[in-house]
Amino acid sequence: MNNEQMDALFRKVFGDVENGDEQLLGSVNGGAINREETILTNLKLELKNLGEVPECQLSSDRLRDAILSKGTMREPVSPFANWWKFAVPVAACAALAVFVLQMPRSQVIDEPDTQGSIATKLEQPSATLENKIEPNDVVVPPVTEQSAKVEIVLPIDQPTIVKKTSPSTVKNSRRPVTKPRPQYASRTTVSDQAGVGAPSPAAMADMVAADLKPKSSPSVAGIAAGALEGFENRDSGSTSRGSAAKPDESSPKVVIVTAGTNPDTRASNATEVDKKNVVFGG
Amino acid sequence: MRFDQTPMSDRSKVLPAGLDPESDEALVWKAREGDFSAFEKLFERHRDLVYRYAYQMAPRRDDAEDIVQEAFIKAYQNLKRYRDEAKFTTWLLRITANLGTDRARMYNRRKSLEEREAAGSLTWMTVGNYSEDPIDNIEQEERRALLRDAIAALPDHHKNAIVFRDIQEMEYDDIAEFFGCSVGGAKLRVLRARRALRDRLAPMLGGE
Repeated sequence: MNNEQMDALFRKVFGDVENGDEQLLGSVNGGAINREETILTNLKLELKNLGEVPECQLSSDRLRDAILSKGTMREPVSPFANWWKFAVPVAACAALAVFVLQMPRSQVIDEPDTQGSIATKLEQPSATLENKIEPNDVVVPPVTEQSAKVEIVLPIDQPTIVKKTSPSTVKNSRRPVTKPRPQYASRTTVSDQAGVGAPSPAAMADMVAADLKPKSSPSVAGIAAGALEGFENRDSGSTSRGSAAKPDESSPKVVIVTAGTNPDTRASNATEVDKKNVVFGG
Repeated sequence: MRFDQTPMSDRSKVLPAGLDPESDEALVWKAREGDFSAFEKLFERHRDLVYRYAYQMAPRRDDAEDIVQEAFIKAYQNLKRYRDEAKFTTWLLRITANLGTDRARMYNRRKSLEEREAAGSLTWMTVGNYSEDPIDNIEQEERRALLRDAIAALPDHHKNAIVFRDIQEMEYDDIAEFFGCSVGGAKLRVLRARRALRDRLAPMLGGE
């Protein structure tokens, strides 16, 4: 029995007979069709028996209680149902955004050179940090008639040429331990030149006059006057005041190591003094 | 929270012209307007149809009644989504089919030997058409259980076709509306479902 004949038999047993089914089934062997017909008839009966179900005991009261406990009818809520609640804040945000976006452009438009100034201003943030920008680095497109329309031309293809400062020029506030301490003029420095901290000429004259007053002698007074004159003319000489403030490079130095350590460097305390101010010995 | 039990005659809204006041469409329209008594009428009218279908999905009365209750609750909550293009019963059976598929999976998962015996005894007490011979009744119950298992093992579209046509004896027009196809298509689906079921049940039915 082929598929078409089988379908015809199904239709015949289940009551859906169509035209031509009898002809299809007529050509089939009687024994085979009878056996299959019995099977399908049993199937139909068994399926029909399944339709007998126990009585439903669900009442409308129970349904009403269930509906009440789960909530009544849900209103379909559209996502745009309450659009008017958000209209005012959204409009305010949009207006603020437009204002913020328009503000820098309006400031630039007030300036006479539109395109050049815009290009310069746009490149300024990268130049103000630690870099310097040269005038040649600023891309200023030629001013045309269309420059009346404000167009922002950004040099995207050309990399911004900047000069970076060398990191070595950055001064370190800390002095390394191994580096010798810079030498400055100190009160312990003895020099035959007039140094910093010397009394003023008027005071010096008074002091000298006071010293010479009890035992005044014309020769000594002359020597003192000559010294005062020479002191007053010290700047006009070969050695200037600035050079006198510098420490004497030729004078030898002595480092005196004392007890204790420096808490910052953990090294022994040491003081550098001129050799002439040190008395060696016990 | 209370339902509005005011009859529609006292309401200002008038039933659309051309609708029979007792038709499903008119009752749905009234229920949409808040008349719960109209929905109760719909429930009383179609409860057995939905229950018999649900019982084939979950062959225990309690489970089937739960499915029916869930189906009518969903229908009530979604009445405004119902379009008049399909019959109310078709829409209701689609809701039940979705619920019944989920419930049938749960039922098959938890089914144990004791539960099957309990369900059988319950059916024994509540369903008639049994002979006086206990052995015959046992054999019939076994065949019934085998048939239920074979139907449950079918794909959903085959299972629905068998249930609607051969168990509930629905017309092909309604089956076609449920499946969303033509009457010829519905006949073809039913035929294929029968052949699939027959192949599964051939040893039990005395075939090869």
